[in-house]
Amino acid sequence: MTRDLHDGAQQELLNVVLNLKRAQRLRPDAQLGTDSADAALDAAERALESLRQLAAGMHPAILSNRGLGAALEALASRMPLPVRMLELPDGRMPEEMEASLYFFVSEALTNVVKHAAATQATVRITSDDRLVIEVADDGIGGAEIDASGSGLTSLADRIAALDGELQIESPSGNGTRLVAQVPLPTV
Amino acid sequence: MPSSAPIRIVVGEDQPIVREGIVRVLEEAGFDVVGVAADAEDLVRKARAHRPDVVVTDIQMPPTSSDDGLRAANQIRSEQSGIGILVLSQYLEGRYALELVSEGADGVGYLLKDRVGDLDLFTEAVRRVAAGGSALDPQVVQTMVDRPRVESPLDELTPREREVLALMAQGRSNQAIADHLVVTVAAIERHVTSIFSKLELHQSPEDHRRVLAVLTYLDE
Repeated sequence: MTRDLHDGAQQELLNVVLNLKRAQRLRPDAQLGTDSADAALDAAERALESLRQLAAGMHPAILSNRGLGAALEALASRMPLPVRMLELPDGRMPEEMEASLYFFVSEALTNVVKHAAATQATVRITSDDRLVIEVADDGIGGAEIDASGSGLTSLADRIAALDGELQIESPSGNGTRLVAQVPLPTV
Repeated sequence: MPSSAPIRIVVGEDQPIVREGIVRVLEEAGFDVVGVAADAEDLVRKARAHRPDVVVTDIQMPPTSSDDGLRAANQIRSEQSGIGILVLSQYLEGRYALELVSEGADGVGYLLKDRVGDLDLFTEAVRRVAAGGSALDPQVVQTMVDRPRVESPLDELTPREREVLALMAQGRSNQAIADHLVVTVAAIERHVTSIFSKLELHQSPEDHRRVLAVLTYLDE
């Protein structure tokens, strides 16, 4: 899907932008129709930018190109609050695992932004006999898994799909800390 | 433009329509496109055969369509010192730009692909990398500058200093920054000194070393 977006829509739209800009250059003094050409160019450029952001948010190419660590660094730089990456894996893991963990962290940080009223968040991924993924914030706490299908339920589901466990520490008024433990990938 | 021979360019881009667009823009701007390649391996071959002044390449090219263009660019650079490399990318992440400049920011550029339509910015970037300078995309740099941080020395920069910092990270000289902001070079020099002092960075006289220092700082 991301590949389709890139190879199809993004390239076509890029071509529209290039041609509109060329048209502007070649006929700079033509008044008639210039306004609508400018408007079309604006619209095409905005669409291109939205597509770029959309593609980055869906399944970022950097995840397949550079792995989980690099993708999470990039994710952190797009978040509206400071996210410190305390420890991240250098090496590569199986593709599905990288994707699951990426979206786990991504959704966890989205929850922080939406619900935690935090000033910052931290992410740490370490491994000994299991892989441990920790996402913590300094927000209001009080998060819990409930039956209503909150964001935390979907996070727990992602970790369960990796045969792992999710612990949530979220004392009221004292931040939230998610600790997921999953089996190491078999090499 | 001086009356010297036109800058010779090899273009790497796998999508025919976009490739034609890039070649047309370059030729209309007075550059000499001496070769085109549709995949990374062919790009390396064409660069060897033509020994151009500059290679302009898409980051995403066959065979794997991940970042083959970037890897080909690094290979070409290691084979031909002094060649200019301009990578066009749809990726906003600073990571790729940093990888590109990590071996030295002299003669390299990283632009978002649709900049090809911004004639001034694009052709200026080609000329700058041909001359051994650096050209980093303004939006990629801005994303790095604006990244939320906790208690960073960057918070101590004035808005004007942040602006100058971003322009430095793009690879612009003091003169170019002064022209852009319509102030004197002396004023820019004062800003630069203040920025480096606040960030506790060592000043470097060469623009491309300065780019590397600033980008590395922003990445931390």
